[in-house]
Amino acid sequence: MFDSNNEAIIGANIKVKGSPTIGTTSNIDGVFKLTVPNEKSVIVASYVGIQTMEIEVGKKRNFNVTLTENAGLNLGEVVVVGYGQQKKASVTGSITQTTGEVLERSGGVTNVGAALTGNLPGVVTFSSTGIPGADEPKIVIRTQSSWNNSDPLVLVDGIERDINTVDISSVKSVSVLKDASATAVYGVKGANGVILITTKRGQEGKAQVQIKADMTVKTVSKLPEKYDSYDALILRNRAIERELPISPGAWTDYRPIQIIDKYRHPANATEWDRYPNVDWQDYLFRDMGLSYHTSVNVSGGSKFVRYFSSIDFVHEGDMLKHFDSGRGYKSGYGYNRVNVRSNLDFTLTKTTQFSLNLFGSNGQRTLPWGADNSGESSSWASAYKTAPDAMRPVYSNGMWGWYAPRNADVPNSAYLLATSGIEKRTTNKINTDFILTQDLGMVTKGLSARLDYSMDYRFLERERGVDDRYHSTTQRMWVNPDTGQIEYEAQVNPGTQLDPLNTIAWSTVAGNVDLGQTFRKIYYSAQLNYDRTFGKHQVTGLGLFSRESYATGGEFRHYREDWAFRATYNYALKYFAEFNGAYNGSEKFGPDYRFHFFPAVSAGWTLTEEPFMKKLKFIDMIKFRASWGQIGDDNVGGRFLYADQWAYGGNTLMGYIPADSPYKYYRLSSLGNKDVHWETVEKRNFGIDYSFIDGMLAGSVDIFSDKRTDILVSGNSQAIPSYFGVTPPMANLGRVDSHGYEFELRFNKKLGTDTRLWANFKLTHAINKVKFKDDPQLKPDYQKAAGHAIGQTYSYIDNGTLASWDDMAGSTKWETNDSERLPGDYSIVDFNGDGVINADDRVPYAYSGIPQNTYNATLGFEWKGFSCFVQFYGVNNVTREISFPTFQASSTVVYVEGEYWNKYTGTGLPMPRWSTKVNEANNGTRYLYDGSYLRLKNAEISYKFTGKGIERLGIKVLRVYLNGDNLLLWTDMPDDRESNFSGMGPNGAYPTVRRFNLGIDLTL
Amino acid sequence: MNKTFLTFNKKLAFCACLAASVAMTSCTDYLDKAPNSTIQEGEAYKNFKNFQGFTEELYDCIPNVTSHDYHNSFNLGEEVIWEPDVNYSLSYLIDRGDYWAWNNTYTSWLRNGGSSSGTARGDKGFLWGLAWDGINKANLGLANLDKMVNATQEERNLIAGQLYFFRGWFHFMIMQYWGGLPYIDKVLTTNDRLPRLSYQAKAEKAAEDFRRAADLLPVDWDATKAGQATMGNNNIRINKVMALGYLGKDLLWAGSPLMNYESTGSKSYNRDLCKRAADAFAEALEICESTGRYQLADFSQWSDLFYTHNQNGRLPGLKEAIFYENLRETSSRWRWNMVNDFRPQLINASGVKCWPTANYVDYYGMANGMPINDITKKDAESGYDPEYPWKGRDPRFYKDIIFDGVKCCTNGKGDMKETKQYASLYTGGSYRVDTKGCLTGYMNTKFCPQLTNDYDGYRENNCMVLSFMRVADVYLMYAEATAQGYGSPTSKVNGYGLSAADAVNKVRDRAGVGHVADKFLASLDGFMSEP
Repeated sequence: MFDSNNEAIIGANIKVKGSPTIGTTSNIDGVFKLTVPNEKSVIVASYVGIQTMEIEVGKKRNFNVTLTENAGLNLGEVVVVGYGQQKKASVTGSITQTTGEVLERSGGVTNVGAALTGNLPGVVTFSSTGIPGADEPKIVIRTQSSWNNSDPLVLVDGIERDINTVDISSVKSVSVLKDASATAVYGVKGANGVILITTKRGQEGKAQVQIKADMTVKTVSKLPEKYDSYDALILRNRAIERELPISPGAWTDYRPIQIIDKYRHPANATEWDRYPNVDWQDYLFRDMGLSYHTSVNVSGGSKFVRYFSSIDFVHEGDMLKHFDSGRGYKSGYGYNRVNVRSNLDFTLTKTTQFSLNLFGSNGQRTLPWGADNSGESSSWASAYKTAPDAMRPVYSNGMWGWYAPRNADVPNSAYLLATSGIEKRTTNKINTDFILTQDLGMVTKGLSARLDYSMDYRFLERERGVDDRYHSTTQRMWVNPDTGQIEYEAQVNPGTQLDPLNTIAWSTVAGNVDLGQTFRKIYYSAQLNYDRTFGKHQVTGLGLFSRESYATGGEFRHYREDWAFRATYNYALKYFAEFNGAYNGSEKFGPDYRFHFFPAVSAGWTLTEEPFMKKLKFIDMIKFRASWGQIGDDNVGGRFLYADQWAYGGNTLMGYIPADSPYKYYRLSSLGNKDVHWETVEKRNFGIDYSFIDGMLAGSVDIFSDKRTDILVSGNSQAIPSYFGVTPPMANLGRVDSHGYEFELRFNKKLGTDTRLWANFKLTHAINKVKFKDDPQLKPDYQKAAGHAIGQTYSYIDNGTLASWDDMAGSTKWETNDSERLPGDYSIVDFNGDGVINADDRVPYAYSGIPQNTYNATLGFEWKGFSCFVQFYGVNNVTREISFPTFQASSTVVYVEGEYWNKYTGTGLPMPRWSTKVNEANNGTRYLYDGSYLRLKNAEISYKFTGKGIERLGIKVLRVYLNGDNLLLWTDMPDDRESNFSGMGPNGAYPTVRRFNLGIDLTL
Repeated sequence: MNKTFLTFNKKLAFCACLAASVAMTSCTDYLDKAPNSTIQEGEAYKNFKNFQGFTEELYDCIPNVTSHDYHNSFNLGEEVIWEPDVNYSLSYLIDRGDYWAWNNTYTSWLRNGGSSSGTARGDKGFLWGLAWDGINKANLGLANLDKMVNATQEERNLIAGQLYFFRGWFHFMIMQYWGGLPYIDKVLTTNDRLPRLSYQAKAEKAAEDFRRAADLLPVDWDATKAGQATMGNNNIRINKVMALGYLGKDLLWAGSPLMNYESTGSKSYNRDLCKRAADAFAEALEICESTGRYQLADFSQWSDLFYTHNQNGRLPGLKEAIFYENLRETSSRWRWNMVNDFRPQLINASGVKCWPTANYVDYYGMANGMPINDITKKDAESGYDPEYPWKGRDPRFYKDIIFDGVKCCTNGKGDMKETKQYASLYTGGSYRVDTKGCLTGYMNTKFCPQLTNDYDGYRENNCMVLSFMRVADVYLMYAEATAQGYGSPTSKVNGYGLSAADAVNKVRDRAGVGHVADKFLASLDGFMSEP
């Protein structure tokens, strides 16, 4: 008796139909013997995960039975787990897995992290920027349960590596380990969940060449709407009118309608210059940017060697226009990356296999000189904050513009980008794995050993390109709309009394290796595996020892030593038990806490293997899983937290002309806490896997609860008075509980032979609550971290607007700037009832920045070679601060916010202030948005050509597809970002994009 | 099957042995490597060179008041007014009741935070943070004095003296702004919770530290053996005069009516504390006068007391300045910052403008030493005439303040209107229009050259550093303390030659201002009204 892979099926049930007492099971070689009553008897063979088969005995006495797997449950399907793989049927942990093919249809996205979105229940991603080459999202598995670090552990081919050390076209599978049972082998590193990425390998056979090419058109997804000069100035007039009682001086800023009208209808070029009306977003961004992606891989092999080799090229184009600087170069953003990979497997002897993985990557970012991913970038800031009437980017005489009154706060991004120089930053990565696998069948059957040795290197070269920081000068002008006078930026040189000159004085720079970023890592491990079946008993074991050391830049190397083990047992694929754990050593903790053991146990029960379930034909499979375990997290800020750290270096200034004193500092740079140790999370997970009606409906449900304790609280967050004098040491004080559920339903229906309809729906709900964070005792409960989610949003609460002077007189006063309060401002709730609005009235509001619910729905249809699908992705119960304050920096920048308050209706948003300052409380919840969104995340139409027509061209399969990413978006937010971690935080970032992608996929 | 299991167990045992042998060879040493490479604690204290290195970080805990960031707001009284739309200056915020602005606006130098080892001016605008940091360091050093084995007695005294001084000084600086707080005289544990002291109780503790420092420290480091290594560059290393000056200042503040009221409920000066303050000042002045270590600068060098121009970054203060604010980036910090703030946009395009108030300027009396009682009225006694308000005024007025008609630009190109070249500070004058124009009719030239503007280059190469204490300051505090402590403006401290009034006159003489008129010497209140 064999399965479809021609492997013996052990322990299959064989019975005679109608005579349940006559029966047997197949032995370890898949052989069975059964004496049947007569030739008319029908043998019924059944096995978990296999379609039950009926065989008429007839005259034959020897049968070669090949059972085929249930569609809903592929017995052969393996799941990548920590340090190995398991058959899906025997998994008892909470693991979800997806394949490279799924990631490849993500519509022109070029990084793996972004492609995970929506494809794995429990994985929540947040993107924040669209900068080419640096647009990776942050990833959280299920939810945060620590304020220190929520990043999952990412392993590429078993080694902790950056998720970008692999390109999508080389990914075979991505497996996400979520519960204690699955992550326990990673012990002190696994508390935030683990993402295992496995790359493709060659199969024995003729060389197969796959060529993929994509061309992606990108458009800016969404930017906050701003009013043009006319509307903005009208609104400013209204604001001035409103503020007149408290700020009569602002009357000088009032503009008559005749003047305002000139901004829309300038009579001539002079007026066009004097009364600018610039749509900065349109001016700065292209209608479309282009990206390309091409990959070629060859795989195949002989008995001796199997290979998978690939080369992958990505070009990400810029969304910003590249302006002519007038200095002989054009600056902007861009990204080119070439990855090469060679995965080789050598069969050295019958029992020995040697594998070699080589990976190299060269990624080159192009940016304005010195540009950063976070913080304000002057290259695009104008799109958000420069007023339409501030200046012309380029005046009609060709001279660059500047905003003379507030040059620093109201930038001209076109000028700043154009003259910023060009910097190329190149990241080179080389990863090498050597793996030796030895079958130790001679010692005992089922035993094998594996040795791994890996070396990773990463280098960053920066500051190559055009350095134009210091010496070039370009005259800029501004036409003062009040006077019509031109104001120049460069003044007459006070020394020489000469007029300023435009000078071009940039230099090309060869670049230098940023030694502080040079990364190297050595990892080695020895592993013993055991896998054997004794009748209905299957036992597997794993023991592993590993060490790694790594360093970035000039730091001392980090060291780590891990011992991991796993033992699994199952009885007839019906009852499962698993025990696993890790004994980890981390240099981060003192001698008393250096090593610790993290255990987990889990059990499973496949209900459908019970005889009484066999009658229910429509149920293919129901399996229950439960797990419990303790996992740790040592990935917390700082090294050697257990010891006082001393530093040497630095001098104070002494002398009549201050200069370094010869006495170098010895200083206690940080205080240690000898009791400091890892964070521990106790994870519980209960899951059900199901499959009905021949796999038409299948999926799983998981319910989980995590209790994290000993969370490190940094010294500054502890309730310790300032007079302690230094930052207190970190201490394991915090506790967080989190819980939630995941639900997955897959639908798969064949209609006839050529048509398939499929759909899947995934839902993740996860919430967390801080139980303790050493809040100061006297802080009111509503302001303590305890009792609220990590990252809970706090805000003043607005309760409508003050509709009249009467309302104002009856409302609570502000602690500061109360004299500048006006009708039409928010009525802010005096939460603590102390008669004054101050910081004590900031209360928990809405949610945190991590969505509690994520939804994914995919619908697909296939007919012959044609296929299409749409994927929707949405989140809710999330809050995001998006702060675009109208009239910021005393300029006429006005965002479309909705109706403002007016005295006739008495309702609407508070009018922004022009010349007076309000208490920050008056913002209320104005800049806090419901961060929910629903996207048409991906959609694809493709056609696969097969058959004679293309074979004549030497092509086996040809697939042409049109797909897209982030195609439609429904949200209340004024921009399209999921988190604020990049750019200017809540004030904007390099815009995220929408992608339309045309691709071709050839297999030769 | 049993047999299979048995053999299996045997093999398993073998594997276990194998694993165990691997385990034996591994040891926790692997994880110990990096920490052994760091600096050991005792290093910092073992000799003078190292311990002085430890101690000198305290000098960089001294806050930067004037230029830790752009447009610092350090005059919180009525001295200056900022341009009206600048809503982030500390004085603006405090005027509107936002006292927490001390920590919330970057223009404040009082904030929590900062970095003692940082080398940027921006690391130093943090009195609250740096002071507690400094106190902790001082306590840590004092607790480890005994580990300084390889040192002479003189070296030990220098270290201990500096540490005691700084412990007192940081407490004193904090007390000035936040009143009585715990006095930290040991290295705390995270569990220590201490009660708030009264102002005077805390001041007494600081006084003890200043006294100890004064007893341990030399007048001049250049005269010590340990100071030879840094000969000529010891000007700001803590010495006896600094310790005595602050001892007096600490006691005088504690004895002031405000603090006496806080601590004892009496709204008058505390005579005993004032007496002790006077004694300390007398001791300091006596040393200054006998050694010439510090002395009043000549009036011709007046501006060099506050800023130097084109002197290669030389500190201002001459021999008069005793104790400075933080010295980070002194050669450049004024240029890209406040030097632009004291002239109207007409002649200085950038900057956030800051003007001396007219009320404050009115305190400059007449050259004959008489005050101006009413700025609007003619006064025969002082000779003040509102028709010629800037005639015959205190000579310091002309050094510090620009008034209507003073030349502000050289007009090198010859195309400048007179209303631009000369301060048009009359009502409606060209220096006074729009929001960046002068609000008060007066401009500051105490902290920047008269010809500060876009054209003449005087904004370059200025070094402006505020003195926390000058000799003139000590004379005036001596005058107050002696008058209040010993009873009258003519009282003296035993053994020191100057009376309270003499001390004031000494400072006036330097500037060529007339002596305090006799009518003010009749009573303490009269004397105190005459600055």
